[in-house]
Amino acid sequence: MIKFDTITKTYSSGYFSRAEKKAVINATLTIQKGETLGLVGESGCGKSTLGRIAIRLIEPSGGKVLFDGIDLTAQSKYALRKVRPRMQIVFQDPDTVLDPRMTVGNSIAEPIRIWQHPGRHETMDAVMELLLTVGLQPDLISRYPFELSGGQKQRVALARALALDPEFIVADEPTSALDLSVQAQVLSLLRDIQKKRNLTLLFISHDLQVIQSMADRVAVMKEGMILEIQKTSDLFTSPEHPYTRQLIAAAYESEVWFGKPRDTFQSW
Amino acid sequence: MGVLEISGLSVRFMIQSGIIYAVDSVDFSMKPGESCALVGESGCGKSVLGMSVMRLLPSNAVVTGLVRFQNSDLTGLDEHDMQQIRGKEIAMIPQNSAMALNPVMKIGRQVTESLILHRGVSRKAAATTAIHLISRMGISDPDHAMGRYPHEFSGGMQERILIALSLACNPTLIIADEPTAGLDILIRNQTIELLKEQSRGKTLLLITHDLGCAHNLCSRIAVMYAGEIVESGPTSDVLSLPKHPYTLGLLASLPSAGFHPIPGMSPSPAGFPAGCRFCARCQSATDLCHTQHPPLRIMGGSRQVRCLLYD
Amino acid sequence: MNKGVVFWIGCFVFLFYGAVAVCAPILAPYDPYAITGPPLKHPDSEHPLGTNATGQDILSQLIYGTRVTLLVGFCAAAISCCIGTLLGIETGYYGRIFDEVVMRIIDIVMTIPLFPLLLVLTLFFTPGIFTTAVLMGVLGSTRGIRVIRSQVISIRHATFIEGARAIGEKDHQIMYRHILPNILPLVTVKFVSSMQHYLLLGVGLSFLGLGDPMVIDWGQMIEQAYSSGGFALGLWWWLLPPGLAVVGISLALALLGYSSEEIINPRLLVNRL
Repeated sequence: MIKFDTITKTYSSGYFSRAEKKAVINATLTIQKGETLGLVGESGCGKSTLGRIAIRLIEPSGGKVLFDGIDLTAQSKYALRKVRPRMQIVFQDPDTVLDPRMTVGNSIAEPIRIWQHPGRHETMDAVMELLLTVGLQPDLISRYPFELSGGQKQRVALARALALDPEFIVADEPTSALDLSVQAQVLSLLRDIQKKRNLTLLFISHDLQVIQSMADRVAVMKEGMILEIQKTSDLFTSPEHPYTRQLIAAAYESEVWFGKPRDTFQSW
Repeated sequence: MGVLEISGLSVRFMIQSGIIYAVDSVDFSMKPGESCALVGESGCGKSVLGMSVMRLLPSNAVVTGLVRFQNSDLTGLDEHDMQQIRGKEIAMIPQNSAMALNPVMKIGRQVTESLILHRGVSRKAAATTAIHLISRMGISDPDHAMGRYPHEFSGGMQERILIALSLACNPTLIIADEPTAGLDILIRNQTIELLKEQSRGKTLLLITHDLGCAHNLCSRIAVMYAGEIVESGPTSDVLSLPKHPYTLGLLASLPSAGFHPIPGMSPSPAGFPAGCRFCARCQSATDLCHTQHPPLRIMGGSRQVRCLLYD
Repeated sequence: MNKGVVFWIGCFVFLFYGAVAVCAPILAPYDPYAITGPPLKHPDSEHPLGTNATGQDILSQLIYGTRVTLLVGFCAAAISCCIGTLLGIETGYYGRIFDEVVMRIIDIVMTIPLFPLLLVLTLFFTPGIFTTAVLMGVLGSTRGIRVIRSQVISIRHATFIEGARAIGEKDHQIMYRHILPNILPLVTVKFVSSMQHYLLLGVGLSFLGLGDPMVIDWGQMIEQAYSSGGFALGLWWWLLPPGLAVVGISLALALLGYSSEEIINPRLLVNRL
């Protein structure tokens, strides 16, 4: 459904200098419809950039992105806007994802108001329904972001992303800033919603455990390049690239791996 | 004689709209050379507890109870005496390394400052010690590093500098507040290794929400929820055979365990319900749990649990 | 000093001046233009502040002068803030060439000192309060544009703006539904302090005789008092009141601007624990 074709993104500083930073180098990737693809790597490896390029929030310097056959990179600004409701994004830091001056209700209603122009009551109903979908009480509608906890804000962001019933969602480290139990809540919510709506998900994280439990396939990135792509179970039992092995070993070492046998990674 | 003895410590914050009960009657002690982890989620009071030992709480904090450090009562000391202890006897590695370092001061100066202040050594001697410390932290080219500013270093490096800062005066007690927060997995492991090495022989109080970090660094663990300690004991025992439902829930919400969420949300610290503070979210709650507040019971094997199930 | 108290003092004084301006016809004992007594009369029960060189009542002139002085300040501040906000948002949001061009123009305008430029320009246009206000507003908006632009730039990269773009909001929707409400505190504070600035500027201009000669305002009164030998003759009742009136409103606005910053901004932060 989504196809990245030799995507490159280079940042150059200043108008005349030659200093260049290659954020993404020749990334080629395919995501099937209904699949969750995990994108894992350390901070600065370019995964967030790639995620944003997926919905053309950032312009790639080279290459193409195909969304359900449509070449996003070739679309005009106007045509691109029309495709946007089908692909949404959930960001990492819950503190900045919501406009601090808009109530929760207004934030969620915004995409509906812009694209569908329904009446007041329909909008209200839609917003309430979305709040319930993400497990929040409808009385939060008139609250401001600063009154909510991190987990609640992230759910509101999710509700907003779902408002237009998209087919594809990029989740850019959605739970990295959240506490353990809140993370569990948001992740299981995401998993349920994905199943129900048959969403295609690009799940970006630096946490291997989270990726392992959420993704069907995993792509490992380092310094702008995709090092390997495998089915999740295969990646963890027989990783190909030495960097992947390093990451997995580190993950096993530092996590409280209770109840699970550690000899799966001892073998290599 | 314990290094740290806390009994009946309560910390309340007076704010415009009422009172926040951050820490509620906590008893806690540490023996020399022991490493103990204080784990819990945001708002459980663990950071406040750490700060209250250092007496670095904001002015709207009301602290009651006793904090004894090596036989002296810290709560009774005046600010001048407390300053002699901070940095020298008790060192804190603060949260958020990016903001904990002075952005306009070169790191060399920040490390030597502590030495000059507490040990009264000359600037030159302090510089030598500082270079030695920084290289022990695994920072390459320590001479040049001394002359650089914090923002020129990565997050992991900044954390190491903070650790160097805290160890500068060879303190008895180290309080590490979330040393691995926000770090990538490879850097995180390195930081944990470093901390393990450097805290050998010293008493370490680790405040974290990262269970893996607690598991790797500390022999004892205390789980906090809503301002109270709900469970404590040897780390491997508590994490492999948890007794308190909250601890069970935390372990079950780990991604590796299938991220089963604990339903509901932490209670607001502005006013706790009667009875057990966790019962609203507890799978095994009984009617009694809603009315009776469980005390911290001592079980065998130096374990403690605060739950009516074990009464 | 308690910020709340400062705010209310400033507010009260400002509203007092406003009330005087509005109720001028009721409050003033005489028509300020009419000759109601002998010239240069000392203050007495009929004319509490005496009369000026033409025989017009000074108190009435003072009261009516409030209108013009405040109006000029208010209009100029309003124009300045509108232009400043508009251009600030547009340049801050779009950036690149548009931003560069506008900024360079502003740089050039800013190097020319405002007062002399105003002096020269007023000679070309027929003097009038609105001309003065418009000129001051347009030329003075340069300062405001810079400040607003930098705040816009810092918000532009915020995640919620990215989110708005991801939803498919058009640029101008993002600018006016999201960015504007978030910079409104800054704009409000700027407005209050601009008003103080332009008010003083207006008084200065009319003191130099460049204001509208047909209307009475404090600058003109001071000028007349001065040129009629007010100092030499010790006519303090003519010189001081307008001067003190200017100082009063200027202080009030300064206090308002100073205290409202705190009240408006940290409101959103105050409840976070």
